Amino acid sequence: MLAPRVLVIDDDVAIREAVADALDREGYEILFSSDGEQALKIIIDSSPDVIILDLRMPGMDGLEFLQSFDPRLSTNCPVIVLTAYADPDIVKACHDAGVGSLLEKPFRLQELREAVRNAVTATESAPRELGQRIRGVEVSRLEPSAQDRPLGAGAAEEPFR
Amino acid sequence: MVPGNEIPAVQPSTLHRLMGNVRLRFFHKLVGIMIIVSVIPLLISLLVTNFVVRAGEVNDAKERLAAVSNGIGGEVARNAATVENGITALSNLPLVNTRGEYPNINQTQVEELRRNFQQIEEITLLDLEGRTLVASDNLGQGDWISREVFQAAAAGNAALSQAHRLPGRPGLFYTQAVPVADALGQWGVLTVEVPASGLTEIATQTKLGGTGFAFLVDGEGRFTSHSDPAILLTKWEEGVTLISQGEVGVGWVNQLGGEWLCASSQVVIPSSLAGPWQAVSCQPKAEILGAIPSAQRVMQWSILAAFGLAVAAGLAMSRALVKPIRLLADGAARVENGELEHRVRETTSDEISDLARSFNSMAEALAQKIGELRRADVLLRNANDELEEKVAERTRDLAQVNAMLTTQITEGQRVEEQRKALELIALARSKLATIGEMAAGVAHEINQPLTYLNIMIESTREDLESDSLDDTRMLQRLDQSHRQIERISRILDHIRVFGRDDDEEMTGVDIELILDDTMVLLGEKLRLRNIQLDRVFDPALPEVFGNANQLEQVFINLIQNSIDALSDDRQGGNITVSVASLPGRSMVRISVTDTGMGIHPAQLDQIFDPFFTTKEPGQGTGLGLSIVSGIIQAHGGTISCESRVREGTTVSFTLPTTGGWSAGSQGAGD
Repeated sequence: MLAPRVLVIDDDVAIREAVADALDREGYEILFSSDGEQALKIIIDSSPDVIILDLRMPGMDGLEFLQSFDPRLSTNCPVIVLTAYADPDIVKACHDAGVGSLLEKPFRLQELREAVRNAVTATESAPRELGQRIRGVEVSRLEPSAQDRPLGAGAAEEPFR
Repeated sequence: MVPGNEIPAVQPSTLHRLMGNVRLRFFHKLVGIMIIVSVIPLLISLLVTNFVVRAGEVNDAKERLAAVSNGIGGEVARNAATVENGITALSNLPLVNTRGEYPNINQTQVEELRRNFQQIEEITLLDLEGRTLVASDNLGQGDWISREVFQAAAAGNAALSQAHRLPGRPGLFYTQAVPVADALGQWGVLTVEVPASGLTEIATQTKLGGTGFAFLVDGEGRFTSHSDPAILLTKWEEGVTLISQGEVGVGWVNQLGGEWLCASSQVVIPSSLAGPWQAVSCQPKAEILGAIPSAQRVMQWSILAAFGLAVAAGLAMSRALVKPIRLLADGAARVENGELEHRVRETTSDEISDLARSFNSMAEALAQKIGELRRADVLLRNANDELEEKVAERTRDLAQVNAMLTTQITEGQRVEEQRKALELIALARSKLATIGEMAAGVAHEINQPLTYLNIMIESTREDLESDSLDDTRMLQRLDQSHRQIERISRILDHIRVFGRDDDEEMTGVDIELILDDTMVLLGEKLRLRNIQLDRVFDPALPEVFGNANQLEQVFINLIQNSIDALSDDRQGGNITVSVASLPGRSMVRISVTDTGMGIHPAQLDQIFDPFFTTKEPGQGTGLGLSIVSGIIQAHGGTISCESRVREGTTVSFTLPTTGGWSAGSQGAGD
């Protein structure tokens, strides 16, 4: 099996480095992107298995990015959101956008690892169909699509914080 | 108007009082002129006449006396000649008898001589040796015959001696000697004693007017004939100069206690041995001059009378001339005192009356003018009274208003103080609010490096524990940690600087950097709200002159307001910050534009007012924009706000650049 592909979308080198360091020996293939638009392209091109998204970004920020997903179609690619302050508004927005889990900065090593592991586990049981789900973009299917997995079903154990 | 000169007070003299109260100087002048004009010629003629008359009198007297002296002299000379002739005739008689004896002078002949020459005394016949041959009387032997006389006669010349006296006989005598000769020649001398009176009687008999008299002096200046016998034969000292004048002499002689006019005339007696005699007639000065004819007296008196008349006439005429002038002066004084109706009579028909006429018309004009002035004065007084009333009224009104205003001002002052106190509180609150907002931003920012450090430390621990620490990796980690810690430091510096109170120092600041700092604080909020913040900056912006802290506050406030304006619609929204340099590069204009709900036009005017807020009660202090406005103004810029409901709001303000800041330059443009 291919190493799970993790896409880290964050404009701050500190976070990227921290994530890279944390996931260093987990055996993932980690892709980095500094802005939402570039990230979309990478998603189309590379179909990551997990997305780690920082809400704090200039340009197309995190929530915007999320909203570019089709909300009716639950994504096979779970998104882990990093945020400095998880107030109720944020939490609701993330939930509505189908975010798998939410980590508050500063997060701990183990927190991140677990979140990613869980996300990866969820994906493994579902084909990579993320490319399809992106609105308005033609993608080529790499794997036959699996059944829809409602968001939060697999990550239901992971409580939103 | 030249202040009137005081006429110096004139000391009233008797003349002044006599003449009445007239201007003495002018009057004096008039009188003086008249007197001078009329009297001086008279005086001159008087004097001249006097002198002329005197001179004439003196001349007459001189001539008279000279004539008298001449006459006397002539007479005396004739007498002397007669005597000489007589004696000579006598000597021609045969004095020798037939017997050749001398005494042939008989009594008859002597009687005859005596008859001819009265009082002839002593006929004596002498021989050439001087021996008396015959003597008529018993006087002696001819001792009285002077040698000179004898010798002259003995030499053949008739001789007349000096005057002398004879013993026992009064009066003076002269010796007349003649030579006696016969056919054989001179053989003797005949002498006769001639009394002076016989010769010179005429002198003393001559009567001159008054006390004048005549006399004779001999060749040595001794009186030989004088009315006063006591001075006979004394020298006439006083007349020495006169006598020495020559044949005729006229002059003034000081004698007998006075001045005498004397005329002398030489008496030529050829045989006189005593030199030429002088006949002198004298007259005292007083008598000469006293003899001024009455005609001249009359003239003198009339001249004096004329003088008197001239003075009187002069005084009278002067008075008459001065009178109209005095009337004029009095008239002027009376008009001056207020008698405007007084007019001066025109008493003459000359320049003075012209003056009087002018004076009258002037007084008339004056009276009219004063009348007008008085009327105007009355009007003025009335107007003044009215005015005073009005002023009093107004003053009362004003006093009331003043009282009201004072109360209001006091109120206002109180309100102002309250406002200031509230403002301070609100300012503190606002600052706290800003700090609050800043805290959120700071927290967000510090979060990032903290996140890294946290992970890094955990990773490193893990590696250490699993003994899989990679040196290179570690070094990378440490470098990044360093960088992140620097990042935190910067944020803290930023806070420190921002938290500093009363920082009003103005320096050159970069607007972009200030905006960056603001974004550090507000960026998270913008992201949360999905608000896009765009920067539109002119290229090559000049440095702004201001206080970084305060300007950051401005941005925070404005952007926060924009966030609030956009907060209703979750669609996000746009905030644009544009910075442009104004022409001249002395100012920059900064605009913060949002696409929010906008501000109602009616509220736009109040937008910068303190405590004005469009938010719900409790939502905002309403001080943000007023503080912003204050900061901008303190920087020397201006601030304005435009808005359209539901479209958006733009707040623009200007700030000076370091190149363009100078005292008094306010923001160009709005």
